[in-house]
Amino acid sequence: MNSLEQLSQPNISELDRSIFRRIAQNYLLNWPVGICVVQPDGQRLMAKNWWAGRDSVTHRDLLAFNVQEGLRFGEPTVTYCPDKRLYWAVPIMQNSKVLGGIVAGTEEEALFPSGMDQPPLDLRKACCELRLMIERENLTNSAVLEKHRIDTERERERAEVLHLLKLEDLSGVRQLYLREEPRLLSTIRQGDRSESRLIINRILTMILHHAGDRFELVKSFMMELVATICRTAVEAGADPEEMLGNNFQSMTALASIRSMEQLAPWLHAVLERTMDAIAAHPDNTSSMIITSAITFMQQHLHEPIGRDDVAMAVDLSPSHFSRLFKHHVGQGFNQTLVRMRVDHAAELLIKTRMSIGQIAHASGFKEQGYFAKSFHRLMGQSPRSYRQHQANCMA
Amino acid sequence: MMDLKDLTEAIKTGNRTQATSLTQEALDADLTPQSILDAMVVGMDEIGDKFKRNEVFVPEMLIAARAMNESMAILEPSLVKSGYKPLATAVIGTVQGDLHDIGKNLVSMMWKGSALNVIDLGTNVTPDKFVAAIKEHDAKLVGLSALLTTTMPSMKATVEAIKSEELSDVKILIGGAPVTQSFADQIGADGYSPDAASAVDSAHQLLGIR
Ligand code: B1M
Repeated sequence: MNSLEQLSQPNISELDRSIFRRIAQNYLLNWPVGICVVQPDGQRLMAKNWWAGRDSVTHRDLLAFNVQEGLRFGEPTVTYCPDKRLYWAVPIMQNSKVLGGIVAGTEEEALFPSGMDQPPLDLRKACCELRLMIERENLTNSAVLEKHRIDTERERERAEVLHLLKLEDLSGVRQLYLREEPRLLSTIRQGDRSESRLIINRILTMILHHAGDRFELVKSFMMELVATICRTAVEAGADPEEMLGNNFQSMTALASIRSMEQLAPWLHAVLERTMDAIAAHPDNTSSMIITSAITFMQQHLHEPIGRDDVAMAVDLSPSHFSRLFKHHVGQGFNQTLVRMRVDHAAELLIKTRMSIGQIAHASGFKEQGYFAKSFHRLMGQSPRSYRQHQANCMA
Repeated sequence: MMDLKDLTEAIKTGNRTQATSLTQEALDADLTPQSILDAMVVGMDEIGDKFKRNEVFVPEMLIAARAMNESMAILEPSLVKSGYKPLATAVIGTVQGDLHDIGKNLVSMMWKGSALNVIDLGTNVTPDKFVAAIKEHDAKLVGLSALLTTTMPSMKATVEAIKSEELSDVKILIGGAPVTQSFADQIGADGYSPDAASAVDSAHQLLGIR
């Protein structure tokens, strides 16, 4: 508990000087800035390394505005003041009440310590550090700030989709939806939460953008989306019964949703529950993926496929795919692929009258020499003598 | 012929001395104001992409924006036709909670160039201030700009405030990167323009000019 929380009528002027001194001292160790405590109206209370003289009214307004912006975005954000200074701030809060803020500032010239064409001070880091320091002292409401940061990021993604939509001029919400759906399902299958969240935001933005205020239309899309997500989760290894329950719960919740604002948190909750259900059976998921990889390899044996093609076919990154493959199959991808090609060739040697060259080709070996060598290594004899031997056995 | 790539670069790096002198040079070399503006906007877009990828932060955007605003000011006289009797008065501003002003400044400049008397209220303008300015200047057109998805509700609140005053036939035109025609319809604005050039046509249409 900090000193402010013990007061019945919390007031920022009661902020313990020693706490401020500690924050200021530590912060100034890393950053060439001034730092002060202000009231909600921007009035300065304590300061270190601050500029001399009284602040004008506009200046005070600006400091107050900065504190508000720090709250609004959940992270200090730099604003420019006509006196050529840059400011950023963190609100001091008790529960949801803003008691004031801690503002840091620097001269514009200090921004580029080694010249305009050199990298400037890392103010993103400076902003983040100020917040963390104040959070550590328990002087702000970290949960509120975190929520605002998440909202800001979501809005930023939404803005970017809107910009794209305006550029692309795609018509028809269904067409847009169908474009995003496969991507979402594949990230869900892979258990990639953050990418799934991003795509969900994109889908929501697109649907809301196109559907305007036709809320029932939006709801019908949502039902379709949730049903598809559930199906995918079961395919990816989630327990069918659990997903059925989830689906029911989601649909019931959707029925009581009345506004666009409630939709995003609802859909995100659906996604989280689904991801949890898949994560509860990790081995089911990955063995399914590997099974479909092997099916893909079998279907494309005659083609010059490589690891990257197969990884792409099952929507995994090549390195992740390699690891997963080795874990489940017990041997590396290339080794397995050659084994499969040789097995296929062996089958053709027995069942067909194709020439050795044709069989090498049909099994995906580009060079006959390499085919002969691989075959010999795995089967203990050359293709020709293998064919001979098998024919003799049959006879 | 002069290469406008240098101007784009100067905007991108926020080098305002260079940006302003290159703008002047481009004007002296008889390049069209539109092509000069386009080169600047490319610079802003590039810095926006870098911000998106976390390669730059707010200060870099701030100085790029300032270089752009100062260079635009040099262009203004060649866009604004002098000696015209203004056909009507328009009020323009960026809505409450929003500090982005380049797009709004562009529209404002284009409007001045098309024989409108423009009262620019700046950024972070409250609905009350818009209403007061419309009354004070007897404006027939209001332009609202918003660049953040989170300030689109302020746009709605402003439209509502203006409509509730029943100000005689003042038209509302909105614009900004996240704003769309369907949003304009939704909030009851009279028009939407995707860019500054079409904001001139829309303004004239709304005012019944031509
Ligand atoms: C009246 O009728 C009309 C008609 C047409 C109208 C019109 C009105 N208004 C505009 N138009 C139209 O005409 C113009 C072209 O002809 C166009 O105008 P534009 O304004 O679109 O285009 C200009 C010519 C050039 N473009 C711009 O000027 C905007 C560029 C980008 C990079 C941008 C900048 C420069 C800035 N920013 Co900020 N900024 C971004 C922008 C990214 C982007 N791609 O848009 C955007 C908008 N910003 C964003 C963010 C997140 C933020 N910004 C912030 C701050 C700033 C600066 C102040 C640093 C600076 C603006 C400086 C200034 N003086 O304007 C913060 C918010 C501050 C606030 N309270 O407003 C902050 C929150 C960042 C932070 N962490 O602090 C993002 C928005 C996210 C969202 N939720 O919507 C953003 C899309 C960048 C991103 N990819 O993340 C049309 O839209």
